[in-house]
Amino acid sequence: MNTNLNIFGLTKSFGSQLALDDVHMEIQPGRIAGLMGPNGAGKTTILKTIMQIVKPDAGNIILNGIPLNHNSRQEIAYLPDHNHLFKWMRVRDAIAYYRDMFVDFDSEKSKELCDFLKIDPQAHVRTLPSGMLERTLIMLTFSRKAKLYLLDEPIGGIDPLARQKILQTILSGMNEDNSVLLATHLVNEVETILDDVFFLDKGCLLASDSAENIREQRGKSIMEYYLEVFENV
Amino acid sequence: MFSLLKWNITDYIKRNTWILLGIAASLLCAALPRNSVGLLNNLLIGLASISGFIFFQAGILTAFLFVFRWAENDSVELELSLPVSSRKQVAVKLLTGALVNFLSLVFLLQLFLLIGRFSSGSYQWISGEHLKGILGWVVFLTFLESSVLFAYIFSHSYRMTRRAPDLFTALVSLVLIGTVVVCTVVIMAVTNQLIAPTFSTDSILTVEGNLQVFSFTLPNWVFLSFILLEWLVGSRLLQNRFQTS
Amino acid sequence: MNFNPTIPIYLQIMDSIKKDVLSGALTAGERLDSVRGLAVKFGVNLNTMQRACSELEREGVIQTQRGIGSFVTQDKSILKALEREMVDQKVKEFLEEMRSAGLTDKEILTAIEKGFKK
Repeated sequence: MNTNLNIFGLTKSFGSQLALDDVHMEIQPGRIAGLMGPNGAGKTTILKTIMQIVKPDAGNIILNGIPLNHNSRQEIAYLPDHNHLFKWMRVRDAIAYYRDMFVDFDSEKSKELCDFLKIDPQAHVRTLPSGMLERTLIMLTFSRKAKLYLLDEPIGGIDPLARQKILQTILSGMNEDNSVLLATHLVNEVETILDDVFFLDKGCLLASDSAENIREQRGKSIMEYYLEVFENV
Repeated sequence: MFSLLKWNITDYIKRNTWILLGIAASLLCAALPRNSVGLLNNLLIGLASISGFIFFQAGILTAFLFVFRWAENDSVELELSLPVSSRKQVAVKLLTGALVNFLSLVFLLQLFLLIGRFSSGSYQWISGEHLKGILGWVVFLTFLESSVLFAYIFSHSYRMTRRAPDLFTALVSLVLIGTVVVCTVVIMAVTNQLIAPTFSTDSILTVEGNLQVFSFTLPNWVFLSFILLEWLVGSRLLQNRFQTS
Repeated sequence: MNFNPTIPIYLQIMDSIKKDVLSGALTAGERLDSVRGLAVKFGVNLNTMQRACSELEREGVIQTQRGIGSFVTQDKSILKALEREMVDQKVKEFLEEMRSAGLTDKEILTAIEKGFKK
């Protein structure tokens, strides 16, 4: 078992609009993969398809050697790009909800992360400023011992301190068995934490490579490579 | 499954706390007066009956909305990313709806009994006989909810119907409910089971088995089997085809 | 830590740890943080950190004892070589920069002497 996630020929259209066009991806355990591209490239659709919230028109997704089924969700921790918690919840309700719903939820870890991220469990989710909301969502996501973490724009539109804390949470949540798929258009901010990158535009995978390869073989930063790839579309 | 149900009920309560407060207040208004003499007592009784009716309807309506509108909220992404089978997801929505319907009916009945004590002179406790009458109603209301939820899932499951999901939800549920009710009535008429309802005078909600549509006989079995069918097909669609965007 | 995104990050981490050893921020024989801890500290992923550590180990700058942790070497000759390597590199960089600014070797020498006098 040396791939965590395999995606073969994923294709999806919404109405007449092609959202994903024959996307192939592979993520190895222990690695952080960045899924990058402009807004509307199809990043969210890929994550939602892995979560089985969106159903593909064609293609297969294999998680740890097994085609997706509803049990796969047990192994995936998903952080959507907006607040998906019930509006009436306080942070502590959300923690209790996650604890009840996910067997891999670690209450101790959630306490540690609340301390580290300076989250007030009494706060109402609805009134949290965006930096605090992202901190809360990342706390909930990484309190789970999942095999795959799907993060949709976890550092979008928030202050540098929250951003740094969130990246640190991601890094310290990693081990040899789990992997992260991080969708973002903020290439600069995640440059140093990525192992692999996938560039996506208009539903097509334009390029994929390891971050170290980009620096070592191509002598470029991920940002420079990104600009080069997207310039030549 | 149990904790899923627990959180769904919590979700309903948190969204609709005002109804529960209203129900409690109505019952209090009906229970407080010692007799129906004097302005204040009559005011309380009047208030109890009006608000009771409003909150009863609100209970039924919110149960309805809860069962099929959950997929319209942002929290749908959380609910659909839970490691729970779609059968459990649908079952829990229906169970929550049925429970709210049941409690709304019990509330209305209790209110009638409280107010009824002023005219009959004696207070009557809720009995098993009363609840039997309620069960038929619960099945019928849950059948309506199940049909609308099914129609909602159905119209979000196919490319064609996804273009106008609201329209198709309305259409499919009307056709479903209409067909089932008409067929039931026809079958009952043919088998000579259809008897015009006669209301008993001493309590409004027990209908002495005459209102066959709502007592536990043929139609209830029909409704129950349709709930079952809609649940099985609906959860299959939810797992394999359903999509809100 | 701020990295130059065009240079392999594990090399930059190696440099930074070597500098700490030379400056005394890390003393000979001192135990290093775990790879995970270092990864979080540097803000890089585990694989990059792992690579930096194994390269440092290959060069003898750190020594890993299974199950216990990694330690800065106490081998004087390695530390000495490290110092030399660092000095050579810095001098080379400095000279390159000066030469690319158009200074002759003689001018560079005068500039250094002036700098000392200040």
